[in-house]
Order: sequence, then C-alpha cells, then structure tokens
Amino acid sequence: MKEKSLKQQSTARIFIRNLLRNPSAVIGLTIISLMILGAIFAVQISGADPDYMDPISGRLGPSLDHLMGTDQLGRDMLSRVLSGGKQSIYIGVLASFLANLIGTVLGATAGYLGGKIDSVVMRVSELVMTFPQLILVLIFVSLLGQGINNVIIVFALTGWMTTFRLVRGEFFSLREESFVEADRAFGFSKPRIIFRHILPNTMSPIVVAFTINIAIFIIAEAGLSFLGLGVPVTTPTWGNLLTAAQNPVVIDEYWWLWVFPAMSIAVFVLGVNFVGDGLRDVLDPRHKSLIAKSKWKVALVGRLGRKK
Amino acid sequence: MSNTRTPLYKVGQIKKHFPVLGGVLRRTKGYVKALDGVDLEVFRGETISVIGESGCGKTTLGRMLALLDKPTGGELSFDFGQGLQDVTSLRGADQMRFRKKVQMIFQDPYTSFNPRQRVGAAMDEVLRVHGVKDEAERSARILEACEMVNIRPEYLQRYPHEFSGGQRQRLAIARCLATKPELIIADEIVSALDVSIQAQIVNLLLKIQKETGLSFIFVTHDVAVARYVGHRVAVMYLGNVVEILPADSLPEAAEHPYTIALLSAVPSMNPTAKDQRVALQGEVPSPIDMPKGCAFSTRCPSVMDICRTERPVLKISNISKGDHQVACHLNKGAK
Amino acid sequence: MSLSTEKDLILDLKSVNVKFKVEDDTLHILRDVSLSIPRGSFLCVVGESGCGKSVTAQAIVQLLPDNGEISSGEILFSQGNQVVELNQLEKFGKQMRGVRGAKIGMIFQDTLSSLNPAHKVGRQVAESLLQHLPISKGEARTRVIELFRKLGIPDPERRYEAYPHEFSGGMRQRVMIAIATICEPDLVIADEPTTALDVTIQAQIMTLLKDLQKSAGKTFILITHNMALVSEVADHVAVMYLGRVVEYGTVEQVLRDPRHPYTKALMASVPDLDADKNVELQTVDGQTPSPAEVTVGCEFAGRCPYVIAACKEKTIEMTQVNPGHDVRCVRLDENGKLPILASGALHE
Repeated sequence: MKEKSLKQQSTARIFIRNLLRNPSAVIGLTIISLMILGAIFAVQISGADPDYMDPISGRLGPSLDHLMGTDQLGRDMLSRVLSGGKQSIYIGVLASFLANLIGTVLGATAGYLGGKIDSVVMRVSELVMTFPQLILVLIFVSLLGQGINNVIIVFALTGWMTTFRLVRGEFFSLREESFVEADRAFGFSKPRIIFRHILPNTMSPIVVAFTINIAIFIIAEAGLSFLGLGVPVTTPTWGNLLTAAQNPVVIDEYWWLWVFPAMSIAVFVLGVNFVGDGLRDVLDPRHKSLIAKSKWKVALVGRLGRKK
Repeated sequence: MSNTRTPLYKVGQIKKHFPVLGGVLRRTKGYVKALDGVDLEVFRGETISVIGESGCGKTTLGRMLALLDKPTGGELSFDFGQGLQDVTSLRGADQMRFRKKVQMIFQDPYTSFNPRQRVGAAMDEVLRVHGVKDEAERSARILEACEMVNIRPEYLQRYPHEFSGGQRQRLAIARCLATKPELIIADEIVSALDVSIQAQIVNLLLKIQKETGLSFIFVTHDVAVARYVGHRVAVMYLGNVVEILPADSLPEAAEHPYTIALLSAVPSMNPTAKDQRVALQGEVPSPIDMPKGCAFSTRCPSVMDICRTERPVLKISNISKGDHQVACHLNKGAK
Repeated sequence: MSLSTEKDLILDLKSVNVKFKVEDDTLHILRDVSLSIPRGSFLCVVGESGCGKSVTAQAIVQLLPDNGEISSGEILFSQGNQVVELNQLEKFGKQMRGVRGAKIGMIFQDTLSSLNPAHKVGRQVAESLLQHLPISKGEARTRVIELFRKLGIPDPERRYEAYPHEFSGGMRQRVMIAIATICEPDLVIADEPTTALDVTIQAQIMTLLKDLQKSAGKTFILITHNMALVSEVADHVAVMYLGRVVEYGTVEQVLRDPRHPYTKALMASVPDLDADKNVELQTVDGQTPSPAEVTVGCEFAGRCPYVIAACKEKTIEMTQVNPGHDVRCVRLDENGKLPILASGALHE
C-alpha cells in the first residue's frame, strides 16, 4: 500500500507553536509575564522596600522618585503594588488549581459512574452553590482564621462547582464514545478508563476553566480583602491595598493609593482572559492538523458535513 | 457447517428488555424489547453475517455478545476449549480470559481510538492489560498484526486523526488481532467508508480468516456485503432471528417473507432479477408495542391466523433442509 | 449564452470551476465540470467522498459555503421560456431566492438537521409555498395536505400538525420531498436522500421519485455513491473523481460498459446480490488524494493501473467512445477501449 511518509512532530512543540501564533494568547501571555516578572522583581524594579516607612514622605503623589506615589506611612506604592501582585497571583493560581482538582476528580467520577454517586455529588454541589457565597466564605474564614493559605483553602472549597459541572458534562458525553466502549470491551478497569483515557480528552475545557478561575479568584480575593476579611494588611495584596479606598477622602484626594492596585487587577485579569481565549482556540488536537496536506480534509469535512 | 460439531459461541433465547419508565412515580410502563429470544450458533472458522434494518436488534446483539451489556434473559455460552461455558456470570480474571478471546470492532472509525493516544501506545496498552508482560513480545505481536492489515510500523507513532477512515478501521482490526482472539464481532465496520475502501476492508477480513481461522460475526445493514463476506447469513427483525441460511444460497433460497421482501428491496445491477419486487407496506412497528405472535404479522403478505397468536420458532427448513433455519409458520419443517 | 433547444435541456453546466479558500490555500474543488441535462431525465452523479458531487449540487443553487466560489464557467437554467445564468445571480438576491425552492427543489440527506425541530412539519412545507406563491394560508394548508397524501404520508391532516421528531426517518424524507416539490419545480436535486434509511424504505422513496419523474415530467439529479441504486433509477450517469467528470453516458453505457479505469474499479468493488459470490472484489490501492496534491494531469493517475507518462502531463479531454458516452482517458484505443494489462489487475 503506497502511503506517503510524513515528518512527525511532537504534539507539545506543535501546541506551543500554535499558541504563539494566536494573537489572543500572545497578548495575554505578554501581559501576565510582564506582571509576574514585576511581582518577582518588585524590589529591584522599584528600588524600594515595600515595607520601608518614611512618614515624612507620606501621601505624596506620583513623582520621579516614587512612580506610583507613597501611602500614608510613606511606603513606596510602586513597590507595594508590584509585591502585592506576587501574593494576589499566588493566591489566584493556587486556589484555581485546587478548586479545579477537586472539581475534576468529583466531576470525572460522578460523570462516568452516574447513578446514585452522581446524584449525591450533584446535590452537594448545588447546596454549596446556592448558599450565599459571601456568608459561606465568612463562615469558613471565621472557622479557619485569616491569612493567605486559609483564603486559598476557602476559595478552593467554595469554587469547585463550575469545573465540576463542566467535567461532569464532558464525561457524560465522552463515555458514550466508541473508544470508551472499545476500552470496556478490552476489559480496562474503570479508573483506567476515567483517568487515563477520558480525562486527557477533557483537558481543553479544564485548562481554560483553570485560567478563568485565576481571574475570578484574584477578584474574589480583592473583594474579600477590601472588606478586611481576606489577607491581613501586613502582607500587601492588591485586594488589601484597596482597603485604602474605604475612605472617601482617599478616593478624592489620594487617588494613586487605589487606582494603581485596581488597574493592576483589571489588567492582569484581562491578560488571563486573553490567554484563556487563546488556549481554547488552540487546544483541540484536531484544530491545527499535524499534517499540512490533510488540512483540507479537516476543513472541508467541517464545512460540508461528515460523509454519511 | 455441520450441526453435530460444538459451536464456538452459543446464543440461547437471549432477551434484552429495556424498561420504559413513565409517570411521576417512574413506574414501568412497558418494555422496549430490543432482543426477544434470539438463537444463534457460531462455529470455529466461520463468518456469520447478521443483517436487518434499523430496530431489528443486530447492534444490541453484537454488544451483548461482546459482554458490553448484560442480557435480561437467556444464555450465552462460549467454548474455551473444554466445552461450552456460561459467560454472563464471569468476573475478574475469567472475564478477562473471555475478553481476550472475543474482540469487537466498532462502526465509527473516527471515534474508536482515543484521540489523545498514539495508536501504537493504544495497542500496547491493550496487550499489557491482558497480561502480556514481556515488552518484546508485545512489540512482536503488534508488528505482526500491523503487517496483516497492511499498516507500516512507522505509522504506529501517529495519532488517530492522522489516518483516513479506512486506515483507522484497519488499525482497529490490528488492535484486536494482537490479542490473538478466536472470535471478532464487527459491528457495521464498513458502513461509514467509501465504497472502494469497503472492498479493501472486506477483502482484508477474508484474507485474515483464511490465514488465522478466526470466526467473525459481521453485523451489517448491507445485504450484498453480508452475502459476500459471510458463510451464513442470519436475518433479524424486531429482536428475533427469523432466518439463517448459507450465504451461497442467497437470494434464491430465502423463505421467510421478510427476508424475501428485504432482498427484493435491495437495488441490484441485474435488471431481470428485479422483476418480483415485494413492496412492503407501512413501517416497522414500535418495539414497545410488539404484536402478539409473530413480530412480522402486521406487514406480512402471507399472514395467517396462527401468525397473530403464536410466535414461530426457528426450525430447519422443510424445503432446503440442510443448514437452513426459518422461524415461520409457513415452514412445516422437522425440529 | 444559450441552452441547446434541440435537446431540450433544462440545465447546462459549462466548464464550471469551483475553488475553496482553506486557511492559506486555495483548493480546486470542481474542475471544468460540464453537464447537459435534458428535461424530464434522471441523472445520477456518482463518486466517493471528495469527488465534488455534493459541491456540484451546491454550486447549481448557489449554496456554496462562505469560503467557496464559482471561479469560472456558466450554469444555465431554463426557466419557462427564459434562460437564466444562475451563477451570475446574486447569491441571496430576490431572483436566486425565487429559483431556489420554487424552480429548483432540493432534498438533503440529513432530515433531522434540515427540518426545524421547533416548528410543526406542515407549517414548514407551507412556508415554502407561501414564500413563492401569492396564496392564502388556508389554501396552502390544503395543498400541503394533498401532497402529503400523494406522497404516502398516512393520516395527512393529523401529520400536518406534528413535529419532525414524531416522524420516522422515512416519513421525514417524504416531508423533505414535499418541501422540495410543493412549488412544483421542474428540477429537483436530491443529495444522498436515502443513505441513512433502511433498504425497504429506500425502495419506497425511490419509487416515489421515479413516479414524480414519470407523472409530472420532473427532472431529477440524484447524488449518490450507491451504484446498484443508480442502475435501477438513472437514465444518465456522471461519474466524478476529485472534482472532474471522468465518464458520462446513459446508465446502460456507463454501468454495463464502463470504459474509464476508475469507473471500472468502482463497479468491480461493489458486491452485488445477484452476482457470483466467489468472484473476488477488485480494489484499488490507496485512497482519494487531496485536491492540493493533484494539479496537473489526470486526477486518477496516482492510483490507476493503466497509468503512463502522458497521463500526468496535461489535462485530459473527454473522448466520445459512443454517441452520448464520453470518457476522459488517454489510454483508450481507437475503439474506445482500454488496453489489456500484462498483470491483469483489472478485469477487461
């Protein structure tokens, strides 16, 4: 049988190449990379220690010395905003990861097994979801206390439901696929089918959910800390820097105290959303065909409808 | 095929009834009788084609035979070498033994492989799960299987979507062959393929059977292909096997009125053979609302009173005797 | 611009080329397709996937996808006493919409997605009528019910009010035929209408279509891959491969006396119920290439057992081997027959 032999490339390389060709992804990655670098090198970039107080230079607007001004205790805002980013991003990423982990495991099991297990987990998820989130968070915070790690745990425990529903939905549809039937016919065990066969096929929506959740949790942390319930002010985060804005005088006269943290949140979240969009475009293994010449088949089949 | 030999796989009055739940209290309103008492015997080294139209239960039968679904009644017995043994109660290692011997290939070539797994890895995994511990032996088996289906070994590194439909079906066949089965159930494996590719796959199956002596159960809606591929053909209607006859004797020897009608509806290149077309009226009745007696009684042109009350059983044909069974009251055959 | 009046053609495709823009490439999907279809005849366009048969149908009624266009050629349609050049009409302009549905009916394969699941079936058929004719809703309803009855849909008054999912596949296809024929078009294009249906239902539907041809004098273009079906219903057959018509003639000529290597291979690879079971099915190595792979010469050259150097050099023209029977192959001798191969790869 004459068949053309074609060069083989690993999926990882192709994925990265496609990702870098996607404008959304590139913009998003640039934004968040810059901000992450800024967060890590906060001290070097700003030339100041975020905790160094210099009350004499308190409440100064943006100037060449202090690009983002100083707060009431004379601390350099640029340095605080950048290092606040470090905490906020850390919280966002880790909380998202944990929430996704919980949601994925529960969703995979409930989605594949169905029946009673599914009913039970669904009811639990509905309970958590319908409970007013703020109250839930307050309860957990009062039980666990404040602090970065507790905030992360609280977010993970209250934020897994969307990923759960997503993964469950994917599993419901995928478990009817022929390759899953084939696996059953070959006698594969349930865990093997769930985690080694179906799960890799749901990675695309899970990764997208992961990136979107980062944004959600950063905003959630901001809200929480703004209310004074999240991370205490001793460790700056974008959220608790915003507590300054609780004072209407600050909003009017010392705008640099809250505008820069707020903008940082907005820009970072925007960047994350861009990356999420780009990932969504690129992650389907059938999207950018690995063989240039069979591109036409994929595109045509998609346009004209599958034969028969 | 002599009836005195033990069959490889025996199907005895298999039933598959799906309950239909209704009302607020979800009470059982009725049953969808996908399979309603199917008898079949498959012998070593033979291909039996199972044909029928939508709703006849042939796909359900195929899945049942591969133990993907449990029957609600009847017996399934397989000969592992020491006589027929019931397979529905097998668990664990015994069930794995069965699964090694009985493999299945599915209709849709586009989804029968995990899109995220390289095809070589997929085949390797199957062998590992079936206890072939030695890596060298796994490779050897996979290469041997690929050679039989004409797939070059270097393509094993690829992902499923890099192959055409025909190639994927060949890979699916190779995946089954690697476990060295005794029976392969092929569920409409060529229906989604182009005509000339169908011919390639069909010829491949014939070649494999000649070289390995495997048995095949070939489920299809295409009567002409069924006749070409099979030694015997089993015709199904509404969950029953209504006729089993040697493929060679089709279409002339068909006796059951449904088989005759089905055959006459199949378009043919031969103009003279189309003179007696039996136009079947109406549609297939719903499998929930099955007629009493013979399932075909509502549309049969030769229906008699007894047909409406008593379900006919598969008996040896009185006309052709030999290896021909019909389930019809018109057949006053011996047992 | 003219339609040959001597043969009373209803549709004339002249050297139609269709190109698709896919990512950065332009793919040549239809290559110089010419078909002259006499009024009242039944043409079957056959071929395997990728041959362009569906695209031909789409091109005629200008329903190509957004990335496709007719790059050259003419599609002449005889509408009443006028000849309309369909490819020159604006895709969704008033005139083209007036043709689509009313003068040229279309039947698709997938009835579940071609019918709106949220609307009652009767309304969908009536809609077609009301769009094109100035009649009242009541009158439309009457006509639809009458057509349902004629097409063998039992209990038509009740079925008028039913939804698509309440019908079986065969009945839905009858509804599609109703939509396609309610405005009494002269030409009906059916794209694989029975592929998803059981064989006994397929037989019923085909009988219906042939009746419409005989009784109402309608012209049919049936797109299919089922050669046996073609032998039963067609008057003429056009065999397509990778966007080109490779053989054309009456059903007698093409099916009983195929001359093109691809047609011969196709015929030899289909098992027939009445043929000798022990004759091995012939197959051709490989599969249909992508349009990007073949830009010069015969499209089938890569797989043809008769190939010689001349096959790949330039575009092959059609040769007439018998009146009305055209074949696109350079290997035909002066009698229009292929040489006998040393290896005997294909039966002669």
